[in-house]
Amino acid sequence: MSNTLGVLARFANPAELIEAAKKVREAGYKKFDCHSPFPIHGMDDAMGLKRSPLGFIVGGMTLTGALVGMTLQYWVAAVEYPLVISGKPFFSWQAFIIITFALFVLFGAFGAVLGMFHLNRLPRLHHPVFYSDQFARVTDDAFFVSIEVEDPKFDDKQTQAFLTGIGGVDIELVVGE
Amino acid sequence: MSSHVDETCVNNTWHINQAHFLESWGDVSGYQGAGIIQPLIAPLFDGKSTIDVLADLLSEEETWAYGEVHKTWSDILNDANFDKAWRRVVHDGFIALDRESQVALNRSMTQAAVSSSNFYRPTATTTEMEVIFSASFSNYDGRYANNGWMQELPDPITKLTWDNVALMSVGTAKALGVKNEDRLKISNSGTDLFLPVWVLPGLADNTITVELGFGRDIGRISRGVGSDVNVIRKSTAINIASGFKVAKAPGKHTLACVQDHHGMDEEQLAADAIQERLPTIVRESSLSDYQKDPAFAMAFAEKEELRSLWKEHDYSDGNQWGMAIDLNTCTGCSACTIACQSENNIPVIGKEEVNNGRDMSWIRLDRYFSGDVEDPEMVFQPIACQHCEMAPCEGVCPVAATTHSEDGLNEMAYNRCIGTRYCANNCPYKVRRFNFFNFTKDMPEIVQMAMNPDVTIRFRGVMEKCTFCVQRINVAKIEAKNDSRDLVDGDVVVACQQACPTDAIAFGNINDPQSEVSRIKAQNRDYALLGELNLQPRTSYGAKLRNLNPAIDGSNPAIET
Amino acid sequence: MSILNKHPERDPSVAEAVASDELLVTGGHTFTTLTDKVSGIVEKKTPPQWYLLFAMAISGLLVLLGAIGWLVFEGTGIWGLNNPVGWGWAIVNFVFWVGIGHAGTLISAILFLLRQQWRTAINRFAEAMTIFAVICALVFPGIHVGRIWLAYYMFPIPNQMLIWPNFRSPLLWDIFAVGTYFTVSTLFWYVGLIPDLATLRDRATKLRKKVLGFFALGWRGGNRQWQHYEKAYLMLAGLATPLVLSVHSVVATDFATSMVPGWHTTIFPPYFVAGAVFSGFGMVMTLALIARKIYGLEDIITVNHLERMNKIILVTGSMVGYAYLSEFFIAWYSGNQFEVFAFINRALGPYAWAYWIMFTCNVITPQIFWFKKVRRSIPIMFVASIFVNIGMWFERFVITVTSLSRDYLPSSWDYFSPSFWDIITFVGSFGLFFTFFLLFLRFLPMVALSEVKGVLPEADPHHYSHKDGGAK
Repeated sequence: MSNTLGVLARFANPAELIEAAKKVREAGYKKFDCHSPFPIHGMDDAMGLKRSPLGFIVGGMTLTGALVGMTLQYWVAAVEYPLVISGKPFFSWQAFIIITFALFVLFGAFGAVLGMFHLNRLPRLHHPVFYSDQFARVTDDAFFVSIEVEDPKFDDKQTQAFLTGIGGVDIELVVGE
Repeated sequence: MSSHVDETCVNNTWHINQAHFLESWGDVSGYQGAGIIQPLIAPLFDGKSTIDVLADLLSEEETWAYGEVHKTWSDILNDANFDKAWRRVVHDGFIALDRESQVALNRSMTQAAVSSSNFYRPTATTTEMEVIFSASFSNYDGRYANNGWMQELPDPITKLTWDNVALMSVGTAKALGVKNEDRLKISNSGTDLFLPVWVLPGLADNTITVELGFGRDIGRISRGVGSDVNVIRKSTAINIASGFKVAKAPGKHTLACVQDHHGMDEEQLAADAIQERLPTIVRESSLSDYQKDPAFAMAFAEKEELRSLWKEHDYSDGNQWGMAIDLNTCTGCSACTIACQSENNIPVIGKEEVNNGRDMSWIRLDRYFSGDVEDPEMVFQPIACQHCEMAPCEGVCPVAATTHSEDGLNEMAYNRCIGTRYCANNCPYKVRRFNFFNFTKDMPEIVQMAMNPDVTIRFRGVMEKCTFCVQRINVAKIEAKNDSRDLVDGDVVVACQQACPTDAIAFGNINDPQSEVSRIKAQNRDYALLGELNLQPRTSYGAKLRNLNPAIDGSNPAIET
Repeated sequence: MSILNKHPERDPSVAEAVASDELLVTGGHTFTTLTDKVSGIVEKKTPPQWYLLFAMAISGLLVLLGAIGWLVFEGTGIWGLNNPVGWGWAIVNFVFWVGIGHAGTLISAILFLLRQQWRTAINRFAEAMTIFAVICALVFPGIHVGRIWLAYYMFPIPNQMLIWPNFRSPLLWDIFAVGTYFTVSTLFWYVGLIPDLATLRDRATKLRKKVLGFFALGWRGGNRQWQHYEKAYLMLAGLATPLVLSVHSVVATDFATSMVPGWHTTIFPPYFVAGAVFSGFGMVMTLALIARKIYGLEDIITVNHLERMNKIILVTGSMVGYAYLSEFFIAWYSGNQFEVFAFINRALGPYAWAYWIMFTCNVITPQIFWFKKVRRSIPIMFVASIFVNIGMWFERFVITVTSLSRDYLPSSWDYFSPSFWDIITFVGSFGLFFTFFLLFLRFLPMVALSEVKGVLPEADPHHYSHKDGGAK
């Protein structure tokens, strides 16, 4: 039992991939992606991607971290277990800045990494493109455009022909098991 | 018959295990009365008191000390209702007796007699040296040598522990070409004594002072500590002898000294720094200068008011403990150190660890020399935790193991301490002591029984320091509460204060202006050690005044002879 | 938005790197040859030198474990510490390793934000070095406490005593700062590794493919992934930059917030950071030169890269030298007799030998890098980098020990000598470091492959639009 999952086309170099991305977008495809061994400058514009919302996630996390840090220290030192230490005030906020900062960074870093995983839906060990044998070259030196079967405009023949038309080679219909 | 097996016992055929006096019945008689000695515990090792033995030898029937004492007192009390009278004596401990207490004073040793006697005149030279045999500061003639507290108590002047040395002047050391810890050979008519050298300012040239009481053959503690100097001592010259050949011997002998480690003050840089700091650390003046400038002790303090960066904790309520130590009356006897060791279960750590710089005393006695190396002045300064109100040790502890109590004590929570040693680093007085090893590991059971049950034994890895005898403070608080009264001055007497023979240490509530400690702190001689750091220590020092005889302080040349 | 691939004509910072007289990668590499070269290191037969070094490293690690075992069994007393000198080699080693751990994240984060593209050749293993150095560093505060089994009291977790740590203590700040640094560095490193793990995955078969595939998380190089990935990398760099500067500042507060003369000084935080970067680059240099030689990476880690690192060593070394001199000036200017003595004592007292070793290694050695010939001479820079590391260890020794050994009251002064256990614990920590590092070299790509590819001229889409001139 096999079913079609999408179409894969290889392009020669980053410049061609960018051109291809523009054309795929202009042709009205939505569920497509451009694969490359390294990020390519200008690709976001070419694919028409919106700004990554990761900044807001990280911003929220950093502020949460700082708030948790300062609140924990205030609660411990001034509310839960006040102790006279070096004759200093119970809420010695100056001394608490460093830990507040450390938690600011720590939470932000987790926000950045876990947020990125979430936005990229990682880890995801199974994906249609992995059914292609030639796709392994994407992490070496190859540049691919993939169009998924879920795309409303997707059609076995037309999409393959379209990709050939914009300069793609080694066109492959990705078929799952 | 003796309580310990010592060098004499092993040469005898018979040895009777003598009970300690706290294990025996007995009685005493004095000018104003007579009293009963009661045992505190049954003999631990089945010892016999002298009365037990004598009674057994002299009496036909089986008897023992209690019966003998009882019998004696039935004669003394001579009361119809003897049982009641005996119980009263046992309870009170003594009875007053009316006796003639006048004793005639022998006036033959008056000043006139002393000054007309023949003084010993030194004749020693570099080749024919003189040796003085002095009793050990801590071991005396060796009778206390098997006591770890005594072996580890630093000599107040040399600050040495666990050894006896050949003391000599700076000049003599130079002439002999020796330095501290070199070995020295002292020979007299074929007998040699080897001792390590220790150079001390202010000694007479060509004179070697050696200490008795070391080099014993017997004792868990005393065996092999130091050298027996009796090998060159003759009954004809018991205290001072002359005509010794003295020379450097090969090798080194490591000495455990708690101050001026490894001869560091031989180094000019350090020596200069010490002399620069000394006037502010130990403030002293002469009586005449003090009369002219009574506030001299304050003169070293910061001119500007000391200010905090934060709002300080308020200690104006309740009992606030403080201490005053008068440097004027401190004689350096070190009784405070031993009293503290006994009260607070401070471990004995041994020569090697003292030499590693890990001595544990909670109150130590600092000794400084100043002035001419041939004729120096010397001061003592007892230093324990100063219980700073803004204690630098507390802020740096990551686990809040050292904090302040409401009555102003800097407290250690041993259970909480993990031993980062940061507090000790940050203590400018260096009074914190760290348990580098489990020092109580090999403590015999009998010594364990001697520990103060009110004070925790500290495990290795834990920091400790003076607590102002917090256990005594708590006992006093409980007693006052039971009596439904407030604490009054004198309710709390700390161990070092109690032991001080010159009352140099005062302790009490500094919030009470009438307390002894407050009145002493109000004196113009009072100053805070390192006060410019604004740690606000609860311990303060009374500046030292010297009142030298004009004949010897050189200020009156007319009297010079 | 790709930051890695700004065009030289529009971005002057890249223009400087790319359009200068040097190429970042020499030897005419293409994407494929780079992949083969870097992946080959972990796929081909391991060089015999690796086994020799690994045996040495494991021996060192065993020595460390033995020393720690004896320490736990017997107590802190096996070290040379005494009453005034409560911190000795353990803390010296801690600061030393944390300092070394600064280069990696500095290269990853700060040079990334400054768009120094030459960083791509060295960042991966510099980051690995950072992580392993921080692991070594974290061992020491853990074992230096008297009751190691209770070290968890330092963490803010409610325990059976219902008592909390003291957040005012610089040691607690350390826990948070170094702990955060370790975590963030590891995240940063792992995020950077994901595309390269995917490369290895795609070249592997069987179990190896499964394991690598698991850690590569299913990376497929789509631009929809790259977009968020680059954003995350930028965010991490932004967060790590103040962090890397703060970590050694916080470590410096262990000293600077105390009262000990010679510690109590406000210059410590910046001076420690400069010293940390200095020592970190020294260590990166030492390791890079060895790895480059053994694995034949001369085309990727070029002499140009090494020269740039030498320039950083020169700058930070001079900053450290400036700090040494200004310490003396400030001590004198303060008029505080304790401060003045602390510094005179450093230079002329019983530890003068350590002070002058430090001064020679840290201040005089890097000055040779004023000369271009020297900056590009591999034997000279190798020796100099080792000198830098020796000097920086001595700097921490001088600061920690000389200050403590003679503080306020002369009655408490004492001299510190290390014990046998002090020495082997330190030696053993190198075993720990190299065990990790050699395993890294053996199993993970030591060069950030996707990033290096990204800086090849062929990676720039504009490279193809005017092929006649080509990209430089």
